[in-house]
Amino acid sequence: MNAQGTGSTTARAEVIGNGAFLSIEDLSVEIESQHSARQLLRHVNLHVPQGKVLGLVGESGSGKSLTALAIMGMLPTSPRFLVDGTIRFQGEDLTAATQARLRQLRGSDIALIGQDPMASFNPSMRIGQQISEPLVIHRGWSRRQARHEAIDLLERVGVRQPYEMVDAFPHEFSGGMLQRAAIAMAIGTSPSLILADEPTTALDVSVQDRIIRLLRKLCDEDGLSMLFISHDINVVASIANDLAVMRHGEVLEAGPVRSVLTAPARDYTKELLDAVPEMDGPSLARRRFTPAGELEPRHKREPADLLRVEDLKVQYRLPNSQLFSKRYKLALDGISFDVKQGEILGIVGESGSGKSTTARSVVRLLAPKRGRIMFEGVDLLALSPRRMRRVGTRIQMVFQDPFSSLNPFRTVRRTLDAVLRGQSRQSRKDRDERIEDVLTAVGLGPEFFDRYPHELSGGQRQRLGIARALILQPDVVILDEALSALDVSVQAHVLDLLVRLQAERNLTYLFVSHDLATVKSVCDRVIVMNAGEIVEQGPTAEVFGNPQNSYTRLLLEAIPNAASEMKRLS
Amino acid sequence: MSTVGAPRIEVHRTIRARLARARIGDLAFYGALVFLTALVLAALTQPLLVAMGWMYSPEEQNLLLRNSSPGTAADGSFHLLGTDYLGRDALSRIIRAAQFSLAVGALTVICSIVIGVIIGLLAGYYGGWLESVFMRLTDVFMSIPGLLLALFVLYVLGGGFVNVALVLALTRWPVVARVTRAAVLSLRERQFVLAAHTAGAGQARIMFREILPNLYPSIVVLGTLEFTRAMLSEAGLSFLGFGIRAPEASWGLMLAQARPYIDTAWWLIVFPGLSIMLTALAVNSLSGRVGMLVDPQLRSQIRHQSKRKSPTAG
Amino acid sequence: MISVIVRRVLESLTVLLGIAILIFLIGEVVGDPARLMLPMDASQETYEAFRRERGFDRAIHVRFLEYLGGVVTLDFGDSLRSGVDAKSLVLRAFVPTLLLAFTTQLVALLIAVPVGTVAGMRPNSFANRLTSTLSIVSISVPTFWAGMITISVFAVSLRLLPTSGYGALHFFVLPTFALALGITGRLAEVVRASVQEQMTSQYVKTARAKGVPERRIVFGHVLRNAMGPVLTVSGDEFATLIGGATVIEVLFGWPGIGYLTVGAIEGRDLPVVQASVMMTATAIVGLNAIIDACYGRIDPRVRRRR
Repeated sequence: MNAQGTGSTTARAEVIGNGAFLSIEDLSVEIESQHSARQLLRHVNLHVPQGKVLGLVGESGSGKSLTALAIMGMLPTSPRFLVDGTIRFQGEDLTAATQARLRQLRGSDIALIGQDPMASFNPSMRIGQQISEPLVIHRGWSRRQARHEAIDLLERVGVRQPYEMVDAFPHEFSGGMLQRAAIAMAIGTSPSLILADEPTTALDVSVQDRIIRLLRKLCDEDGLSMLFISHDINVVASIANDLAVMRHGEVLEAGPVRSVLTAPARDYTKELLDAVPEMDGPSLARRRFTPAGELEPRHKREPADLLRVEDLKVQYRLPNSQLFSKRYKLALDGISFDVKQGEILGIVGESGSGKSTTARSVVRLLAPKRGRIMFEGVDLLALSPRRMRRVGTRIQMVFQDPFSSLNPFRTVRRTLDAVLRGQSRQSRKDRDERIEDVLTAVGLGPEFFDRYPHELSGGQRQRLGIARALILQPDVVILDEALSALDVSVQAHVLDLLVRLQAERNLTYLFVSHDLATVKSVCDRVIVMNAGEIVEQGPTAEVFGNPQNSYTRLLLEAIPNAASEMKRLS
Repeated sequence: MSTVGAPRIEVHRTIRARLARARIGDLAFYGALVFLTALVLAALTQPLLVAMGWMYSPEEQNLLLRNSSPGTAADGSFHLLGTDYLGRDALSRIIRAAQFSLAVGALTVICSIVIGVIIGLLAGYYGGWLESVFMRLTDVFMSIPGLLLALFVLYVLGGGFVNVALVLALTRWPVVARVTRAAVLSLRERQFVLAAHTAGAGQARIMFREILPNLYPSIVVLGTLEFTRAMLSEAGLSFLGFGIRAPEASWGLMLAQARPYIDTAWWLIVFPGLSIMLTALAVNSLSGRVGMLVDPQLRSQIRHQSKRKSPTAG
Repeated sequence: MISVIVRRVLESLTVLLGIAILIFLIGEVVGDPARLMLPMDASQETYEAFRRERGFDRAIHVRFLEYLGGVVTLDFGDSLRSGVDAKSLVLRAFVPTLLLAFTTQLVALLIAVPVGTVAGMRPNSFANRLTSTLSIVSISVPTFWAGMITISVFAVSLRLLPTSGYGALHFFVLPTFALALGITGRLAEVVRASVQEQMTSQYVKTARAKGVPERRIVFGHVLRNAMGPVLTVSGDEFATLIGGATVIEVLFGWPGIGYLTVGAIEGRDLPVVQASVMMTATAIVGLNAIIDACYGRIDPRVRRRR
């Protein structure tokens, strides 16, 4: 099997030149369940040269995390995993190593940085103790010695006030700071190899940028080697020297980042690169679906303000409110904007910026403290709950999480039927007709009608979510991070669907997303939010091409970008 | 191919062991099912069986045969489980008692679940002062030990079948309410509930059509566990003389009546107690499986398992 | 911090008020206190005279306020049978009950925690299945039946231990065994499930990736996080035991709360019944407050939030 591209020869030459560091040769992993064996990895060949970063890209289920686990010797023992091939680390074959030897290597020579920093720390143990644990175990340091080292390490990875934070508990850290602490935990014993498994996926763009810079700095300073795993080819391109693309347990191609990005040998790699909307490119996907003639609305009228938000203020009551003095957090501080008939308005910002709060206020899932939400001249906030239930159906929402947004006790058909029955009295036949129409429109055939949500894939679930929003024939659809939980290639398909439906049904979209590249490719206008306020708004091209606000510029600069990376490299 | 740390043969061994275990699990499941079905059938058809002359009457006394050990008695009649202190057939008494014990358990569970689920649903869904009031109320009931509260209320109201069930429900509804509320709190924030809001569904519709079905698996499991708990409590109350009273029969009461003969008639102590234990055990071992059946996700898992199992099992 | 304590105390006081109201409702509104205190066959004249003498013919709110005053000063009246005041009878009965509760809880924890931990560490092992199975069996056994069987074997047949009574250590063996059986089963299952759940968590994977030995993972990381549910369930079990393991106390002639209450009910001694229910509940409200405080010690997240 030789799935490697042209780059592998160069990579291998380097490996040999530096004395083989980590090289995975012909690695296959099979899981044996009760009656069948399933191949999870097929003849994987990967090489991490001394002091270099190998980026591993793939979608969920491609086997990239499994590869990391195999290196660490941490594959689950039941069901049992059968391993074939060799994993050579500094000349030693890890597949033949005993558990005791592997345990010796883990945490001292090989370190792991995981995806979700909040989950990877023990919630009831102080950070300093967890950071210094490898030193206590592998180096036999005393707790006092180790604590001092932990402070130094925290300082080195850029955690502010390390003397105080060393005794803090994980929940007292922010996500970004916690991931820094996780890095500190990994580098304490000066390992020679770091496995970073989606280390930035759970983080905001600007934080992600800082973490990647930190990792790159550490690699340069200490001559660390790293296996950097991510589903996002842009992120990988911004840090890796070499790049390997995995799919269905196989390495499709591998080689220096430049050659893979500029001349992908495999269609799948091209697809991955295409699926990522480029920040610099003019690829406004929606134009493909709206030929000039159809852009005109059927009944011609001035594009009027369909939805108008005025001075909206929302606050949450904090859980640690005192007995007699309740404490509040301001989520939205008097924001105003309008949405025109038939346009796609993007709302971007990082977590906590208030973009989801805005979306939820518009569909009245939240009760704003102040302000007006005018829809066709009527203030939604002033409507009685009863009238709101009628008018509200014209503004629908597609939710982020395709798992939790569907009732697990309802089949596809009954999910939609419940919506119709909650709204109007129609005969069963009429309802069935409408259900079939809308499901066909979102691309779900009759074979799906009687399936439960857990029998659907992520993309199919999100299609059902879209169908549920459309079945009441709304004017406005709010897409709250509707793509972010999906794999990149699935994202592209669902995005195409959304753009097509918008054109066909003359819908107005509120496109809430943290993904600036996607927003840029589909939105007519965009709103940038930070800390509950709108910091900038305007036509997409203007905001992205010539940002006026410093925060907007910061956001745009932080985006890892394969295309610009290519320019840098070439 | 080599495995991590163990030769491949061992893989097969663990799989086979797991299969064997799965069969033992099934054995327990079907055993429990058969036992409960037989018990319920016997309890329901007892009057008929007695009328047909296939079973001794549970009320028929024969002082000449007092405390006969299991087997053939002095007058040549056969008593499988012996006779009690009034010469009544012990097996007939046990089946008669099953009617009360099962009925008390069922009535208790129905009452406590109806009250508990409604209160937990309202508290979890609406929150605010309603939740505070309801949760303090459960605190009040949970702070008084169940049996003590039950004894106190039975002292005031008097014993008997319905009162025992109501009193036990009174002591257990707060548990159901708390479990329900906790589940509703997390379901309330799930996106499918939010989606129902945006689709214009009313409060009642969201509570009973969207949220409630998601509670069924846990309610079923909790219900079966509460059933055995109620049955055990009823036995305790009857043993103390505050539950089912003579001349009616209850397993707890039978044990109380057998107490003076603890050193002479072991069968009067062993069999009623064993009846309680086996019934509780059977219901407890069914609970997980029944809970799975009402959950579409777990249901399809079972379906896939049995599909995969059939070629090798056959 | 102070406001947290103040809030918790207020909450407890509300619950205590609720308990007092509930007891008043059951005893003096649903039931007729005069009828509850008099022998079943008392004549109508005796009944009327008794009602007037005790003041039960007064308006309900007057009686309630008087009753509430009594609760606050722990004055529940004198026992109708012995003439001693109800409060001291109950306080005296608390000692044997607490001793039995402590031994039972201790035995149960000493067995359940190690067994549950070992089982939980190995999700697919025989030990794991066995623990679950034994746990289901043990919670299906009626405690008083276990008591009767052990009495007939160890006390009646073998004559090794006393059949009943309260005193030195050997009196504790049989009642403790009968009570601890079910509690151990329930606790072991809770420990097992909790440890097993923690073992699959991400931070355990991180610890493994750091090369932490399995034993240190369990004792250093997992156990502390797994103790939350264990604490809750032991608290509930302990509360039941404080309320008097009624049936076991009666079976073994153990002079605790349950024994006292059953005797008082049989003797139609309403003040003692009310005193024992009210005071036990008070003890449990206190216990719950302590458990909440312990929870904060175990889980730093709770500490911060409250």
